[in-house]
Amino acid sequence: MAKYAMFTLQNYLKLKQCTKCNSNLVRYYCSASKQSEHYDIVISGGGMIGSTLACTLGKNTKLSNKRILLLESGKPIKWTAKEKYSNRVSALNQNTYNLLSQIGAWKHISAVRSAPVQDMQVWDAISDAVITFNRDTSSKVVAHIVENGLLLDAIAKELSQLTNVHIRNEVKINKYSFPQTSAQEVTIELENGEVFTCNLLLGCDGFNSQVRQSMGVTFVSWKYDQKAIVATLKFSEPVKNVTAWQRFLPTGPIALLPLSENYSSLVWCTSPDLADYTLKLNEEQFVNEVNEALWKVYTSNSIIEESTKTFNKFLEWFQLPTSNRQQLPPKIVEVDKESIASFPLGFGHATRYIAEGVVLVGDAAHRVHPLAGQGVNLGFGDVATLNELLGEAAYSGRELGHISDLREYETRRQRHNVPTMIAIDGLHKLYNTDFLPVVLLRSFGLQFTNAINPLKMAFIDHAGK
Amino acid sequence: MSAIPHSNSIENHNEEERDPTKQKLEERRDVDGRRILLHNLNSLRVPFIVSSLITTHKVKTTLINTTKVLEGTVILDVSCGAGILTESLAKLGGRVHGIDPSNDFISTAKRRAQLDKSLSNLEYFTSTVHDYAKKNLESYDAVIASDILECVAEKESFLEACIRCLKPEGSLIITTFSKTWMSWMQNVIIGQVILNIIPRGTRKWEKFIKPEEIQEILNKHNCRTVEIRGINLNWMKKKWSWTLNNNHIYALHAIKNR
Repeated sequence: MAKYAMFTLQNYLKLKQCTKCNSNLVRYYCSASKQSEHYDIVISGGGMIGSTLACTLGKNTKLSNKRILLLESGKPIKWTAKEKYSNRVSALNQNTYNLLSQIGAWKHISAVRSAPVQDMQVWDAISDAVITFNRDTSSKVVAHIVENGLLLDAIAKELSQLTNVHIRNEVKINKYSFPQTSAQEVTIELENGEVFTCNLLLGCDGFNSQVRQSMGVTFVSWKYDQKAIVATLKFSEPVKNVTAWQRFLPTGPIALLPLSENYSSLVWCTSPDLADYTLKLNEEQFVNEVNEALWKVYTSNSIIEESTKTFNKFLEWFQLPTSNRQQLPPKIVEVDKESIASFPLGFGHATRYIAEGVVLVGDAAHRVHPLAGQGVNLGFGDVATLNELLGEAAYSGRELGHISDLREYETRRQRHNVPTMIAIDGLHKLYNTDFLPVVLLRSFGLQFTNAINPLKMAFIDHAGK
Repeated sequence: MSAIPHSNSIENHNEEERDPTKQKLEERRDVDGRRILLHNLNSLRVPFIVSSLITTHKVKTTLINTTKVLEGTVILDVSCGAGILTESLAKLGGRVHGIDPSNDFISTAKRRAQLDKSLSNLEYFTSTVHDYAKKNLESYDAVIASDILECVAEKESFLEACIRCLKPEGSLIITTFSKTWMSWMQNVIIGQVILNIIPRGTRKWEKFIKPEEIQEILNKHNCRTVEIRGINLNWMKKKWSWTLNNNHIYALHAIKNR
């Protein structure tokens, strides 16, 4: 009896250490380990996806009794609107726009600046085959161009109002320990010795995800033999800048995304050699290179020229819209020297997005080529789906992070992400060559897609999901 | 234990469930065991119960879409088994009482509930509904009889006892198997004989009942049926979904007249 009393006393003392833990279920576990703080949900990575996820879950009334911790290795974002545009921008699709509006972040963005994309023109440098997406095709805005820093700032404003979301900046994670059985919890050890436990860990820590590596899931990945150059460009005169331009060169796609009447953002994917060469140029030479990439006429092969013309006539004969009304992008005159930067490109996909008590979200689970501007939108899609499923689960009285809900998340997201990623990778491969038959086929494909409106709509719809 | 755990008589108890020592902590998230069917059914029946209580104005409108949606309601789960549904309802904030004639079930349910101390609004009692009704006349906003009616021989007296526990304008919510060839095929042949997800012999087709028959009994005992919804089960995925077809499994919501 005395022995029993000792035992309970010891346990009681251990429990006392964990007074911060809300749930009793948790105290039970805490007693076994060293001092640790418990949260229902821990989000690892406070980038665009991680902080949006924290904000979305924190605002979900069906999850309002959950304590959420956001861990970020960087310092808190201090974003001040400068006249100059940042070189890191994202093209947000309609669904991402809806998500940001729903959590109240969009109003902070629109109060500062964002540019709607109403038209899109994609063309092939070799064959001049064109596809256009515009308001006639889709009444909605195709995308919104927003600076990443502004987006993060808008989310941070909303996050600061939430009492159930705690944020820890400048943390380095030493180790994640995942449960062997469903009854245990995820443990997160920081380098400074602090320990957190949680029922559900959400890995939003980018394509080099430490969470994913700790999970040990297979990550199918390869590097593209390309680098992306980004910069902020200025036009010769103010234009009605609502068009996103993309030209497929044999070395990779070059894209202009509207920022304002005078400025556009450049995303230029090209061979590493050419990228390194371009980065060393002075401003004037850089602008010349960009203009050449956008305007240069390739010694067109007569076979390609004749074939595309004939195909156009064939489409005309069926009274289908043809693509000879190609518009021209505005002339670039200036570049903001400080905005020029480059980064390598790669493809990656985790075969599993989930394990007991863990979920991968955004780039941690999938990384794509920026040619379709879909990378971040896939991540925001993950956020919306996860939020919906976790909310519904709680509203049905299920415990947080029930494996069946996690599986549902994985199924739904992979069903969307995998085809999108394959399509993007396919496009990259399709356009990364000047092999004649491939050029012919892709040109016909582009012309045909451009001619058939429902087909075009199907692409827009999928990209918007 | 059975995929459908409840029973009104000891004969239907499954071996696993009868041995409470086997209940371990892991069961809190046990989903790959046979309980998965019942766990998954919660994603249909919990929202059904919640929406029934919302439509009958038992829920404060400010609480809709929050985790405490059932706060202020008093709910009885008849033949609660190990408390899979009972616990889920308690998590949504209602005062929930689970009763079952089996002591084993109730002690298992109590042990499960003890693992989560936030469930202080949850209580279990070993009792038949008949005995319970004598002491708890007109005490509940909702009485749930989920997956039990198909095991009960004396349906009318069982339902009558459930109704006696209900406050006037309270909701009686039932889920059970219909008595059709389709239901026989699905629940007896596929579920019990072929896949053995439901332990063999625990659900006898003779005891199944059609929604019309329940409705008739309920009418006789001063209740009006307001909703009948068909439920479909994908045996392979073990997932449930709503359907327009009432021939297999269905959920029924009736309100006790004043």
